Amino acid sequence: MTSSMQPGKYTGLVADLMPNIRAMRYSGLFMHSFTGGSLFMKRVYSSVHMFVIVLHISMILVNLAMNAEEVNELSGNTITTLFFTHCIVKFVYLAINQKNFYRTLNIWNQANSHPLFAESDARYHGIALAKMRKLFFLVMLTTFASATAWTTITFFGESVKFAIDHNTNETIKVDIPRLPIKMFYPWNAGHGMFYMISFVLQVYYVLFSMVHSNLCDVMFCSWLIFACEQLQHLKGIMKPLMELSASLDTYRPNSAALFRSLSANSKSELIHNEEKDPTADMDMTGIYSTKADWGAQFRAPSTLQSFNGGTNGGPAANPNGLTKKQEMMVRSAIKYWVERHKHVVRLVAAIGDTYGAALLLHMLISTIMLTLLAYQATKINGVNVYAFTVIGYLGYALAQVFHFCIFGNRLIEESSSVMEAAYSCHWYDGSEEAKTFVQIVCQQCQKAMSISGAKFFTVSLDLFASVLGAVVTYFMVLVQLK
Amino acid sequence: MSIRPSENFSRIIRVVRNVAVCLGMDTYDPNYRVNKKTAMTLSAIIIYSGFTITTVIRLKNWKFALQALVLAGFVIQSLNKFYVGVRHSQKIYQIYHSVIKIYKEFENYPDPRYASDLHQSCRRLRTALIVASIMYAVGVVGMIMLPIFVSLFTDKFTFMHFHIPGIDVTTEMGAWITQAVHAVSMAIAGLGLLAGDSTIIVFLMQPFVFVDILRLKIYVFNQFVDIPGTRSESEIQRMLVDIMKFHQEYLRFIFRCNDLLSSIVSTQVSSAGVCIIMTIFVLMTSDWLGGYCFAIVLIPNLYIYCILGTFVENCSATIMYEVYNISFYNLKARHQRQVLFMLSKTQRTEMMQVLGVMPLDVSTALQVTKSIYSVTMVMINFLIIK
Amino acid sequence: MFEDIKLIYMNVRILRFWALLYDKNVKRYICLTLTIFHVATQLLYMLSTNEGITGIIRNSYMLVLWINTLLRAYLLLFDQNSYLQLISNLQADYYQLQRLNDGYVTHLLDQVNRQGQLMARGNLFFGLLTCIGFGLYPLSSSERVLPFGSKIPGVNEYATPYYQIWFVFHMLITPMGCCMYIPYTSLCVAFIMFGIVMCKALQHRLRCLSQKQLTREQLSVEIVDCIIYHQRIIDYIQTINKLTTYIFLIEFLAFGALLCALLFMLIFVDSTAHVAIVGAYINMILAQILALYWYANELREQNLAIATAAYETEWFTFDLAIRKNIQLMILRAQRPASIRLGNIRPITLELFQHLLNTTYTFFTVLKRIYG
Repeated sequence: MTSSMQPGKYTGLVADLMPNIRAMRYSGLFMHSFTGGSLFMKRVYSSVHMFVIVLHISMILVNLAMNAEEVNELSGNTITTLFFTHCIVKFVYLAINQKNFYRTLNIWNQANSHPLFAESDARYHGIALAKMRKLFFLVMLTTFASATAWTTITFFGESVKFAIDHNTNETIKVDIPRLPIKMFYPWNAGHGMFYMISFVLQVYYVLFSMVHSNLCDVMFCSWLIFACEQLQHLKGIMKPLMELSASLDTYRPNSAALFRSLSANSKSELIHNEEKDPTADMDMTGIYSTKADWGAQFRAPSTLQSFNGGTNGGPAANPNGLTKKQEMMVRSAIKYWVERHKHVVRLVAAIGDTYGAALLLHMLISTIMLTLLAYQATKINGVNVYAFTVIGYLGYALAQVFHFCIFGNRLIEESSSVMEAAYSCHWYDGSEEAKTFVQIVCQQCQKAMSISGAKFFTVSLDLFASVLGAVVTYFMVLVQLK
Repeated sequence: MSIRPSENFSRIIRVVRNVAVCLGMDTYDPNYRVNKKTAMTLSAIIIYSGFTITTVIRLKNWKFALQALVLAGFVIQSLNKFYVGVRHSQKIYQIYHSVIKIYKEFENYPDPRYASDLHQSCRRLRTALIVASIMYAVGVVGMIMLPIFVSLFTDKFTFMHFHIPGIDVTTEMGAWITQAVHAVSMAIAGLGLLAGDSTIIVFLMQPFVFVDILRLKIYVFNQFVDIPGTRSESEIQRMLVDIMKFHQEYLRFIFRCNDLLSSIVSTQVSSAGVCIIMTIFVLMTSDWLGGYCFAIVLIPNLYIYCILGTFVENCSATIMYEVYNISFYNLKARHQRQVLFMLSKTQRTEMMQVLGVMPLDVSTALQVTKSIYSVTMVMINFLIIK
Repeated sequence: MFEDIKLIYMNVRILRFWALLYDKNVKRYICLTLTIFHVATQLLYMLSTNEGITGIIRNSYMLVLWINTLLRAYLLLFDQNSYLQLISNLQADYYQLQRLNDGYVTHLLDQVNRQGQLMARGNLFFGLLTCIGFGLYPLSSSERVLPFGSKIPGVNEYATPYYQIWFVFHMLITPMGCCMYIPYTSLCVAFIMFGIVMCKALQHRLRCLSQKQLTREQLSVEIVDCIIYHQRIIDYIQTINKLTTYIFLIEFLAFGALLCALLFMLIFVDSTAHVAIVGAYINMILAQILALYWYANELREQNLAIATAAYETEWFTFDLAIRKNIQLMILRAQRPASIRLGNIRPITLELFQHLLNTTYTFFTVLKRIYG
């Protein structure tokens, strides 16, 4: 990587996710590519954030260790620790796995395009962009609201902790400073200047931790939204593609209208590929090369095999009187479809490789946290601060899991429904090649594309349902124990 | 690299064979017969079991019996591996031979990428074997050292679960002799399990070779059909048939591995699961220091095959995507149908199976872990009520 | 209209009477306004009451039903054009099937008409029973209670003039609510039943191929016609799906929660009359859900059976192009078009079983806490 990044003109996925990437950089995550500024300064900035976060979480851990005798304190502190473990795990995961994130973002730098389908492509791209922006704003809003709620609820209720009095072996309440999180401080954070500093630092910590963890999840879900809209685009152009393919062999009235989106004297290349723009990923050569990742399927402009009697000397007459150029257009359309589908498959595989382990760690931590929360929930005895905090934690944890489960589920549904689009057009009028093409596509789509948490589980609504079921089961078991 | 990939591979196998030879289990030899060393290993296992049973009967302590039962899990695994190794030595040799044949065939291709892929797979295999060996070494050394340290510092003698008849363990001399015998037997057990696992690792890391070579073949094929009109149908057909034959080779390999290893894998996964549950129970009811060590050793025991099975599953999934990568839109309908047939088979590739019903991968291990967790909760519930 | 299509005749007639379909007159505004007003008074009552848990559950049951009624009326008005289009599609398909003059198909149509009529009448009858039950409920209790808990600010509902007025008002809007609620369910079920008939007709057509003597060209044309019909069925089901998927999801969640609450109420009630009433409420919910889920499941099964029927043709005697077509038809039929819940999960009896399981689980949890 060069030491100074020029903010070049980014296209594709990077451009769409620029708000997200900028937010990640400004909040201190290690996402340093794609934005301007000196790399060294960015690293220093992130390291400072990292130092503060590590400091806070170690103080939380020390507090946990110091108050481990009383069961209620222990479980409450453990839940807090696990909550913030999420955030630091995602932070460190991104820092370690930067290269994979950049690689995934760069996969869609330059996609193939076809003049006949450019309009549909642009439309679905616009839909994907709108959804990604909406999701980003919604999640950021929720994060800020949660942080505000957390800070606000600090001022309600009594600011005590439970401890065991060693003389009488009973549980007593000990006063602690009124701060959002129960932490150990080497200085007296009771009042005065130190109280203000500690309070401000804690507010910063709460806000930034939540922002870190949610930004990573939003990036993952945005990738999934993009992949789903690409699949919708492919489903949308299946019908005209089949019509085009049928026009090669069967007489179809009005076949000239099929080509109407192409202007008469267009000199556009049938398939535009990134061989023409070698400078697009110049600064990424160290990390990722589009060519290598595409398996170099794209060579010099490939004229496709023409099947119509090459050996008989001269092309066979087309029943619809299509020109040679229009025939090439049709064949290149099929190639466009298949290559675009493979591109989406590659993107989804890269997403799974990049973020799968993070999801696994998230689910691991969430499971333990939800078990403990179920235990805490059995001690709710009325509408008070305690009930609100437990329900808040519970809702937040379940919402995080629901967030990526619903998008994972949508990907599974979309990828296996491509076959439905293939079936819904006049494929029965097409040629043998067209029908075999439909068959191969249908066959491939029977195995739905899914994101798995490092192969341990599949991210879908079934996962969410099983998590919810497990929480209820633990709750029931623990209520019985009471 | 100046050495050929098949040489590289043979070197790794030679190390594995050396370990196996120590135990008389060199099944890679086509002329392998049961020999003296094999008999010695078997008798060692039998003697161990005999001593344990006599000790348990003599002490009449049910907690001690439970602890001994946990260790019996390892005994069952080693007996199973031993049996499969001896009985199916021909199959092991056949699989090994087919792998060597692939190495020898593809290193001679003019395209240098084949050779470099084969070298990379050797590197991968070497890493996997080193990791497994380190794990076993750490486990065995830990289990040997722990009782020694504990008995040095706290004057409490912790033993494995057999006493040698005729040696009185209450005397200091007798105790140290018993400890020494335990250490030796643990070392031999570790070596034996490592030998068995090494063979399985060697075999289950080979699908990567198949994947890499298939990917290269498909890439060459795509380039072949990308240039229009100059290729005759018979040539295209020949290359396509070559790819399909190689895929069949892969399927045969998986089938043979499954056939050979199914009992070993099932026994290992189920016995590891049951032993973990028993260990947790014993740890909760009695005070057994070695139990913590055992629990830590049992977890990799459960997961190592599941992780290897996941690798195989990943390779099958990669093959499915690679077959879809064939530029079928450049082919005629006749060839497209053949690609279709291959594609539908790749979606239903057999993977390694546990007990014939569950696939051997980490999601099965997760299920087992969840069951262990539930059983533990029930046990805690039960014990607290008691 | 639709006098000959007995399947949907009664439902369309009732909805048309209340100007929710086809007609546009003042009656739709009357029923909407009255319903909104009633729901508002109920909400006010719920928020301000201090009745025990049984009263709350009973009132929330009725509140959910009324909100559902409102939602359905609103959906009908909002998506009016789509519903009308769907009904006219159904009519066209119905007449097309009739024109075939095939004995089996005619028998299917008669059967579905009978079933549809029975379902519509049965539902209305149950609705009527419920209305009577709501009406008689105040008579069964000693003090003055209203059928539905309502509160109007500033008015004491139990004082003499207001109580009678209010009682009469409730008795009048109950049949109106029934007319908005029940025909909608019956109409949806009728749509699904007709979908089943179309699937069966397609299967019959495929099975009869072997009996007819057809030339190669005729066979090819016939198979293509079957495929086009299959596409029509899929489009029809997807149209139904688009219109109803979210309301079904809301109902699923609402009724699940209600079932749990009603079961829970059974722990607290003492008198036999109350047990009978709660039992009747539970029965009504189950009947509502079961009717829909049964037919949706059947639709899915019949779609899968298209694949079986396609396989039962003598495909091995056909030539390659026709075989290819049949193969693709089987491939598509194996992923059956079905009515989905919130576009996530197809509605099947298995889902119904999950609902019962989950409800019972939550019920045991609540019982453990409060029992």
